[in-house]
Amino acid sequence: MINKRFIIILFVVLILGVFFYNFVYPVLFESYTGVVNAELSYESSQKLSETEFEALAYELTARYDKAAEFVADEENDFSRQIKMNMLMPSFLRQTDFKHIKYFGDADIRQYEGPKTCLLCHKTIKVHHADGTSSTVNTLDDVVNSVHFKFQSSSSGFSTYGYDGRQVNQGRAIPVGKINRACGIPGSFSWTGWAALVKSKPSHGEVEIRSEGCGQCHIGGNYHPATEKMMPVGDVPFDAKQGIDCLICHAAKYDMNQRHVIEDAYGRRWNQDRSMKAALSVGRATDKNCLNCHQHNMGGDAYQYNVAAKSLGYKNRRLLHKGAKRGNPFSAEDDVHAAAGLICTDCHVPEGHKIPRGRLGVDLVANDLPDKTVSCETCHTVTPHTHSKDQAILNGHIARLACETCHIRQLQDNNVVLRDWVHPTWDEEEGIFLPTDIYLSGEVGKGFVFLWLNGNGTFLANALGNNPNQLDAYNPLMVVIDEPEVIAAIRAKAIELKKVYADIDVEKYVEAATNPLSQLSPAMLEKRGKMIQENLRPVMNQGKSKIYPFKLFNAMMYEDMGNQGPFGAMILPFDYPSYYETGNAIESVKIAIQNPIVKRMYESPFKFYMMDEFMSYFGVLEGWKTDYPLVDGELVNVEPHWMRQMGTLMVNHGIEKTGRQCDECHTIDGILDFELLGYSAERVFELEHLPEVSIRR
Amino acid sequence: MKIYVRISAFLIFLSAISAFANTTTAYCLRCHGMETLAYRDKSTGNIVNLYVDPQQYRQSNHSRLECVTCHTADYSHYPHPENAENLYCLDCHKDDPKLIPYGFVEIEQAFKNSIHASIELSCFSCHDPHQFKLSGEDSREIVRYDNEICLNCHASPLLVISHQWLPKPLLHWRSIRCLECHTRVAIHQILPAKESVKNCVECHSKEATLLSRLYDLQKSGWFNKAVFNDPYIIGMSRHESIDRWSLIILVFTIGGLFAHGLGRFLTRSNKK
Amino acid sequence: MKQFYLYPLWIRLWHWINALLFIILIISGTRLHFAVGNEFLAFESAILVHNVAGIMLALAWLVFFIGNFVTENGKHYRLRFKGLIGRLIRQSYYYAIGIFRGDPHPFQVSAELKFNSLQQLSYIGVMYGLMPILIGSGLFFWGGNLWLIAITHLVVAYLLVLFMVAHIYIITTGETVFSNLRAMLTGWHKENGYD
Repeated sequence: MINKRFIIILFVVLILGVFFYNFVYPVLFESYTGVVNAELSYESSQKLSETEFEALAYELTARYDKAAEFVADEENDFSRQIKMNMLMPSFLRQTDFKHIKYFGDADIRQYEGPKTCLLCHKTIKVHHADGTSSTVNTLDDVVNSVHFKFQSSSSGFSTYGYDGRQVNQGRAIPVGKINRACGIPGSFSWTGWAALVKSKPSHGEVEIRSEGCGQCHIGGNYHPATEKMMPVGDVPFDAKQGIDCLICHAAKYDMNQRHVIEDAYGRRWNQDRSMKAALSVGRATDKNCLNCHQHNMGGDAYQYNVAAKSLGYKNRRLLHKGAKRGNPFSAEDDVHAAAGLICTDCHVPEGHKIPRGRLGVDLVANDLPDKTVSCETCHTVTPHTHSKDQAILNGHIARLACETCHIRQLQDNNVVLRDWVHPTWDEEEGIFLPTDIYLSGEVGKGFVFLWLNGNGTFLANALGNNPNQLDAYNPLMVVIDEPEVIAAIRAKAIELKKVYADIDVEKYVEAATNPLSQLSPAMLEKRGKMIQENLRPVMNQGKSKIYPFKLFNAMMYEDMGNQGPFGAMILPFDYPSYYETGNAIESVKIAIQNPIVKRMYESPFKFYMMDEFMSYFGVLEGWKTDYPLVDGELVNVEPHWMRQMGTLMVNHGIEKTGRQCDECHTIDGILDFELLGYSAERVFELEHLPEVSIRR
Repeated sequence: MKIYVRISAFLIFLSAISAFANTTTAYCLRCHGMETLAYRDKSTGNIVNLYVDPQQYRQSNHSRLECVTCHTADYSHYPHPENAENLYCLDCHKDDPKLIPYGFVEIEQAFKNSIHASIELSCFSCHDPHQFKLSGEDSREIVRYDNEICLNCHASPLLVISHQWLPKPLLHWRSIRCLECHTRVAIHQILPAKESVKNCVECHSKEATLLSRLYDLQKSGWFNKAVFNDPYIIGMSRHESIDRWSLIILVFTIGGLFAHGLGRFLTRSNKK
Repeated sequence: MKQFYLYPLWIRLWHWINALLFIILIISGTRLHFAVGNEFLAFESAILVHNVAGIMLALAWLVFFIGNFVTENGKHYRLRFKGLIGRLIRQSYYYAIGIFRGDPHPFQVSAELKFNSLQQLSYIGVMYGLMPILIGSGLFFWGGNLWLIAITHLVVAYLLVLFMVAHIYIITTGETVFSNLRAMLTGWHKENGYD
């Protein structure tokens, strides 16, 4: 009797548990974080008639283009068509797009997102680097990839906190783009996911423009994959159906479909779910990757950014003018792209997990942290094979990364200093934009050379040391001292002063070029001590080489209640109000009223992750939950530059011809040997190589 | 400020430059001390490593020599002429009376008869003169060092198969040099595989050739032998006094027992 | 005449197997150690024979060791310290002098105790002292400090040869020269005459 009763109770508890987890928890989660989930639909997902399908299939046959080219000289339309038909025996047999036949046979006439893909691809076989393979659930594989989650709660980060701890080596917290505020986008993924901005170009109509982090991310939801930040719970079914498989897999993906749409539940990013795109699916090519990644490599304004030429059929996407990295991957500017290599040749995926490489200075999640992505894999240890200096060039590899000589410049619009606090009106776009105080792709200005052993800090500073392992080298104390650069910054500050009269030009230049000057002597001392005690051992790990690093800093509003020797918590901007009014303070106020930011300033969030986050940030006292908005006014919020220049690794835009000996081995060459920690004697030696002077 | 640093550096440099002519080893090591100094040979496709480990060079027997002693003065400028001359071992080691005990002339003779000579190897194929160091007395270290030289070229899974006939092949490889079986007449005269030793008793016996090669270096004395010389070759390694005294005791015991028995036989009538 | 069953079958089997293995091991061991007689037994074969016999000896010893726990045979190996010295002196005196004078044996074999104190002591030393060392050093004849292991194995082997020689002689000191041998063959210990 008792046993029977016990089993019934157990059964009921189990049922209740499952019910709670699947139905009650998601509702509670949504109401706590303020995120919205709903069924997602897309206009481009249209059912085709049989005739339409066949016409499309005919057009998409790979031979079509070739045949069209072949008959281009034919003047008569009709005979051109006849010849086309002769050259196109049967699209079903002669096609590169295998899915034309598959869809034809399976009677698929409408593409409905993951649902359609999963009809056949429920599982996939994943090939691992060690030669083994495994079969995984496709949807799970995608949902748990960094491309969908934008964060990782696992170890494997090459990033070290200013407290000396490797990120997620102990208690793991979710870290990555999802919760990492950054000075380049000026916002973060919840407050700037999908925004519609009213632009007022000086000569033209008022136009609604699209903006937000979601444009580059494969989730089609109303918010990023917030659910994945919790140790329990999953992304809702509807959100998973919003995944944009085709942006990565369709050769004919139409980037004009990529714009913000608004419906009853909120704003989200549209996607191309047309049959034309669906029929062209295959393995991801460089074109697919570059749909998003050229944005942060070459930049939106880059001449050969293909995706940036298709801004949307409506609500056109806003282009970001200053380039994040300024090193494009395109046939025009990268020797590998020109040779026809595609991204996955080097970043060899395992299923939907794509390796970023072992080295990394910024806090970006990496699905395959142990997988090497390096030049050496193909080029071996003797990459130089025909010059008479081949041996000595190969000899340099022990100390220099390939990129150091083979990236000679970045794009001119590479942004070095960005001021979000003092926006500037952009006539052409009809919006206020953050002011890019200094842009340069030149060596020594837009990018510099630092030692790297593969590790980085929480705020993207390259860690490494001169092989002499002395304390003379310290990348965290770097200042801008190039007179030409300082002059350019001063000129920009003077220009800004015309609009913002309260700017003290000299103080402004001082803070922008030497961000350490913003720290009190006590803070400076604490900072020096923390670097020496916590980061010096990390800098001395392993083997360092000299790499090029793009410099970056931003002036943003900071919550001074949460500050340390390396900076304070930066606050996000609300895109529409910022762009439309140029009122930076008001846009901060709006952004931080986002439910998730409010939750961030509450105890559960503090204990769940913010204390840990701040410790990595060098603030050992923990996260202060004093919400910086009281009675509609910002409290304890100040505008500042971050306390050090960020240094972002640049690895693309590789040039065939590298630098010449005398570009470095000369007085005031491009490598600052002194700054790189060499002794005065050694610096002299390196600058006065007799061999180089003979050659000159 | 920076200009003063430069001037002082220049002065230090000037004072150093007299001792830093373009013929010193330090001068050469500016490039040849680069770990990755190498190129790919156009005819063979192999990587030719030009790195000289400064640390190992300083510890080698040749450390007192300047690079240009062997590599001739042609090498004192960059780029080096393609037909610059190098010295060969015997260019130094033939006539110097100090070096006669090392028997370089004999070594060369032996090498000429070696199977290695027929595939155009040279002394340097096995012995890097930049790291060359006389072996010490620890037989384990000698075995490790010498076998590593062979395995640089010969390491392959086939090696395990061809040595399968040996009882405990790994123990053999750890304890003796490849040379013990693959040479007979002289240590540098490597034999073709077919002619190599494949007979246990050539080593596992009292007259073992091994005794005159590797293990004649062994330290003497009971304690030293037991503690410092790990290898023990059954049939060859024998401790003379243990054997002698054990056999004497055995003979005396048998003799004693025999006498006891004889006594019992003679007094058998006492038995009640 | 008194007669009792002293040696159960497993003891007798074990004993003779042991004896045979000893002979084989001494021959092959001598061949390996002194590297003589390659014509009689090739080096490779000697290794095989010695290894196989050695492993069998180890197994036999294990049988003995376990057997002494699970059967009553273990009691013969339990030392009685009380009066031990006296008994040892008496036994030694008998072997040295008494045996020639025809004195009665100072020790009465019984089903409870088959060994005299001198025998008991030497058997304990051999079976629980030398044998484990011999087997252990034989099994580890490939690693560690090989010299030390080899010398240990050799010295213990010499000691066991000595023991075997003495053992073969001592068994002739029974009631008749062959009575002990017969007992080990049949299992029955026979005594007649003096009481």
